[in-house]
Amino acid sequence: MAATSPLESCPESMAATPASGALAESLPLIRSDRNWNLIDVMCVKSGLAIATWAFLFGGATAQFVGFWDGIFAIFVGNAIGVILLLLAVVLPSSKWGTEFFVHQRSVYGPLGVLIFVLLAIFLMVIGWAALLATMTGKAVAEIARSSLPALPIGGSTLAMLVSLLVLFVTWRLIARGSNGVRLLNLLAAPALILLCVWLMASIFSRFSLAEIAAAPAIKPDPDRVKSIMLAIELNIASGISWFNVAANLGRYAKTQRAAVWGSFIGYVPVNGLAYVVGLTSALVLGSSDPVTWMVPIVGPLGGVVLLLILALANLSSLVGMAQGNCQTMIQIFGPRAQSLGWSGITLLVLLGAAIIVLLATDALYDRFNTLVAFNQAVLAPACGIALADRIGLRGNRVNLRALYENHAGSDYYFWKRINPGAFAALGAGAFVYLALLNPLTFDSEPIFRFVSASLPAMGVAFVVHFLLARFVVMRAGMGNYRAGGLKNI
Amino acid sequence: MLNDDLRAELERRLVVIAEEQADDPAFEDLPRSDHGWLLALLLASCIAVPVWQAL
Repeated sequence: MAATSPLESCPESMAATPASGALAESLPLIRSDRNWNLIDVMCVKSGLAIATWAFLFGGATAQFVGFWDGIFAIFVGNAIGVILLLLAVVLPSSKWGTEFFVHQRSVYGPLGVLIFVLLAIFLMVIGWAALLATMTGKAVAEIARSSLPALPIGGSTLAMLVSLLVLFVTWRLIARGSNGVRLLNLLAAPALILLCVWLMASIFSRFSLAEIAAAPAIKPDPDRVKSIMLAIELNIASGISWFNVAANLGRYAKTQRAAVWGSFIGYVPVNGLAYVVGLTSALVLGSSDPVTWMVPIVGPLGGVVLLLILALANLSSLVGMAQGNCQTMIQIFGPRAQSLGWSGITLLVLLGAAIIVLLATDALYDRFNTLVAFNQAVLAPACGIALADRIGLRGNRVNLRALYENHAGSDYYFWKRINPGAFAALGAGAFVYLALLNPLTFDSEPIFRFVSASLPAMGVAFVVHFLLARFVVMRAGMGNYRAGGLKNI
Repeated sequence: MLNDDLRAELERRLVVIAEEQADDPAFEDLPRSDHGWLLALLLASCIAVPVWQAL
């Protein structure tokens, strides 16, 4: 499909560098820029979804539940998370064609969004980058261990060195903005589908359905009801974790209907099938780490091929994720980020990931669920706030011009460019999430078994943001909430 | 936040979007029936959880 971006209709000078090109991408799309139909959206989202995250989430689900409970948790959990995400963030970006965080200036204020991105998104991107680099390093170390048993260097040292090398290669690929990135993605997507099919065929040739269904979860809670809710919570988090990526891709859909249903199909049934591969592999081999499955399931030679595919796919995911999020940072930080240059800002992100690889790689890799839960403690309330603002307070209206204004008296200036009400709601939602579920130990309050942690966190953030906006922010005449329902531009 | 070139491009786009909205006041809003389907799916998923836990 031919996706038109604002760059193509902008003067050439605006897109002269990746940094200035990223700034041009923050402009709202006009109808001629939007040319993805439902099938296009579905293909793009499916391609993105069938990536290494699928094995990680499938394997993590297997920690809590067995095969049938896992399949239920994967499809129902993702459906809940994705539908809430669609209503909260995909619909507004699709309607207005604005970059997601630019639109969120109407919620948090221009400086508030910058703080939100810096504290939440930046740290999460660094964590995810370190995780993907570590998985690639472990895959290569496993290949070396299988092929060269007499290798003089230890497996963990080799894995760390390769992880750092992967981050360096990623930086060079992104910094060049070359065709190599596109070619890498073209190779990785079909290779991952091959990997899924190969793994499933190998598993079902060795184990019957009855054996797979009888395989126990890896580390289940003694209380089955809680185990199921933990798996559902993990998959709600998986759906919501697409957050700004889902919103920004939805901008290119011709209609909101295409954006919504294309995203739903890509993120729930298609994505779910890849999760089931991860779930099944983890159950039959008793490990949630994809690197450890490959060789035992398909044998030494096939295992090395699959590990190579996994390494390539991780590199592809890492490049795509880092590139997209570095663009977001340039859009949010504007000229300040431009002064660092494209190479500078991508280096900053990947250096952060390198520090984690050096200092805390094992802790992060072994605590994948913890990373996801902390991620969700911020993103679930953020969804609640976005819903309250769009539906409850603004009646689905926004002043597009004001999203790009930064001066005192502009519609979304709030108090010194920050809306403290939105941050209070974010804090309240995160507090509720962490009170219900401890991301480090996965101990929970009794009510978690029935209501999860994400939904109460989202609900509390919705109510707090609505009440503070209605009774404090609007009374102070801030945020253009009263006029918000009367004009669009 | 935007340099002069981008500011000018923003203004051009706002004019185009205003014209597009004048042609179509609903501005491609998601149809109510689709909202209904989404909410029904959400509700069904939420109801399915305690039912499955009880099985």
